[in-house]
Amino acid sequence: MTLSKDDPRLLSYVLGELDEAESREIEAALDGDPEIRAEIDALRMTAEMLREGLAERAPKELPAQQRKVLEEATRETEMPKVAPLRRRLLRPSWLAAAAVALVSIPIGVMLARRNAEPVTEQARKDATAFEAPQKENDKKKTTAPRPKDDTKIDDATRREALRMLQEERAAQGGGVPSQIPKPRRLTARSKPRADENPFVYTTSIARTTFPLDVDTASYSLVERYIQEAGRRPPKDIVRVDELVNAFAYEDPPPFGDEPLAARAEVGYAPWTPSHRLVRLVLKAAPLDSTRRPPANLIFVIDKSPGFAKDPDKLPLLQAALRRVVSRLDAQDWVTLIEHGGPSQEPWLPPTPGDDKPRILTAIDRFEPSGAASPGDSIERAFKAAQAHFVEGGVNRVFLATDEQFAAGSEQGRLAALIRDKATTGISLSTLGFGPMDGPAGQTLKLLAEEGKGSFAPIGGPNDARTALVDEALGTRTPIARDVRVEVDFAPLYVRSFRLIGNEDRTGPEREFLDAWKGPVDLYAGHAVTALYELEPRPDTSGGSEAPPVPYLLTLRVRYKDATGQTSREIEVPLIDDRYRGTQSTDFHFAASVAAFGLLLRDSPFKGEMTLADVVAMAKKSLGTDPGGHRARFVNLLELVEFTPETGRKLPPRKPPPRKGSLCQPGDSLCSEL
Amino acid sequence: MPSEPTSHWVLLALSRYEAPLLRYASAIVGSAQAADVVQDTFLRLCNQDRAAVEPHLRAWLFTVCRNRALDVRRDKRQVEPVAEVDEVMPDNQPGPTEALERREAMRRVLGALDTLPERQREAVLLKFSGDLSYQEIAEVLGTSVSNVGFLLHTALRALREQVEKKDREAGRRNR
Repeated sequence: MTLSKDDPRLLSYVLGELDEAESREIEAALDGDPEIRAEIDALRMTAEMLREGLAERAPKELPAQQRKVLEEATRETEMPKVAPLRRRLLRPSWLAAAAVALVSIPIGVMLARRNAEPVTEQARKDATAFEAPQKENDKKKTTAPRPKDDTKIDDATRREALRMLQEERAAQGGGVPSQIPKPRRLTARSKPRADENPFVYTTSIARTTFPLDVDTASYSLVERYIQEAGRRPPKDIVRVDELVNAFAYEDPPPFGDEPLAARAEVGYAPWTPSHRLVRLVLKAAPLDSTRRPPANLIFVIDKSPGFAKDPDKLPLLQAALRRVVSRLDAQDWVTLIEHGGPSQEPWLPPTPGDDKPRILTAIDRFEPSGAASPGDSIERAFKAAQAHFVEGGVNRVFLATDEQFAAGSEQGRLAALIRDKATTGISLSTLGFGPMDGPAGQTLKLLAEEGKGSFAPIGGPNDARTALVDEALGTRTPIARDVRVEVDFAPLYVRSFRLIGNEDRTGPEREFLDAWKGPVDLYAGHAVTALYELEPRPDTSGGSEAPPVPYLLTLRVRYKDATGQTSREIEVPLIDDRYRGTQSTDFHFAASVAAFGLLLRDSPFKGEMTLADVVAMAKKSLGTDPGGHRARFVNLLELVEFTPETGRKLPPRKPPPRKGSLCQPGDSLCSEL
Repeated sequence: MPSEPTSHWVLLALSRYEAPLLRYASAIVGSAQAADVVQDTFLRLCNQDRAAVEPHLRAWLFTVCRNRALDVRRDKRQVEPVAEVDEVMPDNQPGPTEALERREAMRRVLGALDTLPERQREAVLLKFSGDLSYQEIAEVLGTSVSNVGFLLHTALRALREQVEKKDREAGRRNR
């Protein structure tokens, strides 16, 4: 392709506005053309200067006084409207608007009592006070008999929620993280619509697709509502697709070298027996530790005495590093760089992975020294990464540091650098040792997001091993790129179809969220299940002839292999074989989970289904149930029978037991934080 | 559910967008008044139906912030130059030459910003202070995505030309 250096697409490329195919085109052109490359560099430079310059001359956060006014306004939205305002900018024409906007600020509350306290602390107290009467109500309502041993909750879920809240708190306190614009994430889903996806007639639309970036957050929320608060979750936090995908299924893995397998099954829709339920599955190959892509790993290690001397920091890291090294071979590269050391030279220059003695010695001899700026070592790390870039492999910088980490004024520039490098295929992951609920954790998390890597708080040897070994050795390398699915229904046999769940991702007003329709990268071990309900066309053949093969749909999966070079396609036709009863246990289990979701949502499509039916169905399809996850689901179902329905008027404000929670369940902003 | 009794989502939005909005507002009305504009933006958010706003939250915030900021600026009847750079970035800062040159270049780029036509300048501010996507900028400015691409492309080219011109002039003077 020939490109003019005046092409507007160059800027779009620099700003990350092109899709992957277009970006590749530009990159291809860029390789052969120094002029284009220079142009791209100049554009990047200008963009960076604009970002930095504009950031430098603006305040980073609102003055405390104004923040306080806002916090009051958000808390008091529902109170009677009185609007005494303290503001500098009052103009007559603004007054009307302001009176509407700022619904109420009780004067006494606002000014009298809180000057001394940090805003967030106060917000926490307010929320606690606010919650107290609510708690009382909760207690009264949950006196219904409940099986005792069912009330335990997944610790991981709780920890995760806790961490989320802490981070959010830190974000509000410091104001630091908002300096780095967050990349938009697909998990930022809007509030689902209460109504369900309708049936679509195949005569108007016969081809559709379903989202591959599945989330499972809704299931843990539903679980917490039922187990902790003893009530049914409000309808709009129940996302059937997320419930279904919260479980592991035992579909056969891809055959041979294939990275992906697709599967389609059909049976009766348990809630409406005249309909069919179709289960479509996409499953990526599990991680094979013997065959992995080459790795080019750069470890930036904190060199402060505080880090090196703490047995829960450097020694943990060293142990994990040794484990990583034991699995490397000649195709890999390792570089160690001191973070905070005075030296400009890497502690260990890029070294092939089979030179183990040298690497291990360097790891073991790593020792503390003085301090320098963070940005510098990361820049050097990226240079080293560039020098031994491996095509189609893992090119990743790891930043290992602790709660003392601070990027300070460098943060903006650092983030821009990291973001920039991430587009060239070098990612950055951060490992946070020590307590990560402060600003350091927040910063590290943001940097990792910019770097398309991940942030791992390291609390013990297991964390360190998972974070390093899995990350470094390719768990996070997509094994299939640009995956797209298409479902073609056969109008001859299918009158209409309905995608179950995903309410918030369909419909015209959700255009902004339609990113899921674009291609997605899939990683080892990834699996997606989609459920469709079909209304078959009534048999009009009269039965005199042998009925033609009742062909329902074709599932088509298009993707590129890990290198992004070769395109492949999987095609799975689905024939209506309901009479043969060949559905897997997984099919029935997924159906029961979906039915449960429909019941909780009080869906118009729930048919004749009752909770007892769901329990029976789930019990029959437990399968081998390795983690006991399905058995817990059955427990949950039984618990629901004792659980009062959530009133329409008073949605439970805070079902999780944490006090002072700023996060509403199902809060997409929260789940993004 | 019209709105939750405690609108913490507004606070979450605040924690995420206050800095970009302050950057953006500062470029239009100056840093002194930016805080008022941003506060006002969030006060208005408090009164919105979350379900309606959230799918395009960023575009919404920047649209409201822009309107507020333009009101204020109109009221002052003068354009606040973006480049108040001199007070913020003293030229005589100690540091290696490279850093100095970089700061100088930055100062010029920001200075050149004020020479851009209004639409281009707006697109640049939304992009580089708010990090809005083309789609969102299009929403805020009420134009098409492809036009946003064009505005930014033209603007950046003009900015670079300006800077290079000044570079040449500076070079001549030095000789």
